[in-house]
Amino acid sequence: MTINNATWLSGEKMLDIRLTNGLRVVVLPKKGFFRKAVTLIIPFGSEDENIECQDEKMSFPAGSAHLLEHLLFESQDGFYTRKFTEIGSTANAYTTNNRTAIYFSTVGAIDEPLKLLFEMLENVDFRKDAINKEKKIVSEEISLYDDDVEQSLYFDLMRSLYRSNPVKNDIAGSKESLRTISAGTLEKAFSCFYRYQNMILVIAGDVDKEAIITLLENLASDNVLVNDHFKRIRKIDPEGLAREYYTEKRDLRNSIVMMGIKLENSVLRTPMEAALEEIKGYLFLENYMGKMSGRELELQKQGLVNDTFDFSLSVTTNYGHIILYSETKKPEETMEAFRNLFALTREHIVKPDDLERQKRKMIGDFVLAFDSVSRSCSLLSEYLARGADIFVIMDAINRMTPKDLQETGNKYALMPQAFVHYGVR
Amino acid sequence: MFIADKHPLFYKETSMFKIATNPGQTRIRDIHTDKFKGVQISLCFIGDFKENNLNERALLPEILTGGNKRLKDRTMIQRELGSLYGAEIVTSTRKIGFQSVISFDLIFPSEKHLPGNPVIFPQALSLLKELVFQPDFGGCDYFKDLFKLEKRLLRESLENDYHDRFLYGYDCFRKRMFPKELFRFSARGELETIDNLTGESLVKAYHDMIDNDRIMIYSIGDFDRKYLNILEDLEKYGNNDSLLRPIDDEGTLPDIPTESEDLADVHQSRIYMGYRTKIVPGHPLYHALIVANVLLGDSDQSSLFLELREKRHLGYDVFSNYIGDKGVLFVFAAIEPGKEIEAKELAKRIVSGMKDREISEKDLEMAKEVIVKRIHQAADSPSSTVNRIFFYDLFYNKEYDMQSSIEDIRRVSKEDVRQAYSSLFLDTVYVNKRRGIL
Repeated sequence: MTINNATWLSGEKMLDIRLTNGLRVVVLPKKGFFRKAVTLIIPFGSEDENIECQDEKMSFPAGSAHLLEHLLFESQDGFYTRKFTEIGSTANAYTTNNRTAIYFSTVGAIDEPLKLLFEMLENVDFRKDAINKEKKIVSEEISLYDDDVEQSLYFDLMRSLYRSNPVKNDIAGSKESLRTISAGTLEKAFSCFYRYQNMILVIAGDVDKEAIITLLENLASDNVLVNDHFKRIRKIDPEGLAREYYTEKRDLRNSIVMMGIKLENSVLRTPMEAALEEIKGYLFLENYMGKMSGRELELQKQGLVNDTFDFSLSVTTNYGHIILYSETKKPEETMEAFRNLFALTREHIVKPDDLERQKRKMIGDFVLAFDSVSRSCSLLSEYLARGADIFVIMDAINRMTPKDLQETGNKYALMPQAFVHYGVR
Repeated sequence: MFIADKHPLFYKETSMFKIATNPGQTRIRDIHTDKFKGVQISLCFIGDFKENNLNERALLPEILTGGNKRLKDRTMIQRELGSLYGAEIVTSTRKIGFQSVISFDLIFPSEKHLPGNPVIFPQALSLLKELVFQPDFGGCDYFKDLFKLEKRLLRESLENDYHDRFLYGYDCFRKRMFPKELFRFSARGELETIDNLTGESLVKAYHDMIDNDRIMIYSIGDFDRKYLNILEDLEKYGNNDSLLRPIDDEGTLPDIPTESEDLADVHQSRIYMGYRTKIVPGHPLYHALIVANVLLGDSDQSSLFLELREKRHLGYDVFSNYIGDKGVLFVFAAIEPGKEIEAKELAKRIVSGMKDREISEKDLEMAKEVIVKRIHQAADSPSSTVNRIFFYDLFYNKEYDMQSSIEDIRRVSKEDVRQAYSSLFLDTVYVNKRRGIL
């Protein structure tokens, strides 16, 4: 058992332990809170289209991880969502690029829903009927997302930035790819990814740490430790863009533009390197064009963006990108302004006072994030799934200098840029 | 009197929260708790919801937090908030009953949980007070520019609601169901009348707000109470004798429901169904209708969800929503094109059949526990706690008591739920329907 004391900011003493069957358990006690939140992370995301498992190469059609996530809640003796509700908890799941997460929350005792969670994993219904039923539901879900303009724009941008990386595929797949997913594919995926030594269980709330570990040791004892780890195949996308510009007309009131900057890398990063690169880049962008910089306000005053303006940064082991977004009445000028904005990043100087202010803000945001059981559980899950330690990252932020940020951000001007523009029909 | 440190009831040092009230003059409710690492101070202005100033009240919070004499623009304010460890001021304008409620929520980390325990509370609270009570409407270019910018941002924000298919359809539906009632308007503003909004009308609305609104202040968290003295002189603002009308009782129960549809370029059609009821907060069946709503469509075990989505695969998103202060219950569904009529008729049958359905004890208990869980969880967040307390102040003029709130839910019987369903009358069905093949 290891106690993580690196919690200098949150004030919480976290437990981080690996059970004898290989399951990693992280417990964040939140004394005095009613809610207990639990998330089980399985490293099967939409990017995992190709893997090696027990020396065998395997491929999964787009949407496999998401369909399997749906199937978990099916069983021959009823829906698991109902079973969770019957014992006073609420359960659900989601799939991202890099993981599947099953979660529940309760204000009662945690033992029964935990037992149910592990029972659910033992009883996945791979019958054709169950799979077809979930395929229909997922198909409805895809149709619903088709009406989400922002999401549609995002995937059009991903398809512009990347030539072969699966990040360009919708997490739920397509109606066509769904049809190609068989029971055999899902069973294979399940046997590779859903092993305890691959999973992480995150628990936050007013719980008895020791009692939970004892319970879990007994609960998950059947699934023995298997040494054959699966290997994710992560490839670096070929250099350059798939396309520089994509536009279409839609039934909109105002145009929407999205700019993407592909952060090209020639070698794979470690998870921690990726997380640090991301946070440095984020601090640089905040410094350069965040709300405290005045640049957003300037673009607003020029009538080029409105309060939908936003930017984000994502850096993983094998890819990375920056996204700028806004709805606008002047799409051409806005795209030009975005382009000019990034051309100037190479000259941007980070002032020590501004960085100090940003650090303060990050510390405050971090403290407030740990004020909520759900937010702290999801924040921990996010970083644990990436293989990064959020507390180490917070320590690193504290030591960052203006030069660190500049070394990262001044390169952005040289990276390839793609634009997606939805015009008014 | 509004003197915090002289009132013996003002503070209660407890590990869980207890509300201390200034009896008679409920101007501030202070919840002293060390449960949270954050602090929240909420200023709530409660005025009348009126057609002729709803745009002004929608824009006011943006103008007030957009700059003043000392801090000329939003960037300067953000920099000051950043120095205060990322303090933020969250604003909103809501319609509750016949009231328009403008809120300014100041949220920041407690000094006790920051490295070195820096003193930030007085600066943060003074900033909030300065922004709200010392605006710069001096008629100079500064205000003109700010007003012009914020008005454009509001207009575009309302225009862009069209891009959210659910929201846009809901707006169309509301205008059909409540064509002459105040409920047809959004507290976020109305596109059709935004041109009438001027700098003068905004300033007038501001003075009306600080002179005539009822002002309620909420503080929650672990901080030194002496700093609340900063708010002492706010006593001169507002009108705490103003009549509160938190229930919007416009409209009558319908004889025959009306049905209509529009065609739209959407992948899934949206169905909106509106039921009227006389059950509002304070009504003997109020808690029964909350339970009834969970059983009908407000959980993943609800009749609508299981039947329309899980069994018939008619769509992905299906839910119901009970709005107590208006006495309406809405059913919403995103439906596969071509299946609109089947879904609509099925949803109608489900709702009308609920009053005759035999609800099992197990299902009833499950629904109650869903609500009890939500009540408990609300006490885990400063903002949800403030919202609950505010709700009780507004509707019942009494202190919020979590335990009695839970008991109200647990007391609900099957017969109560049956009666609650019997009180629902279908008024309007609106379909935002997919136009041909996209």
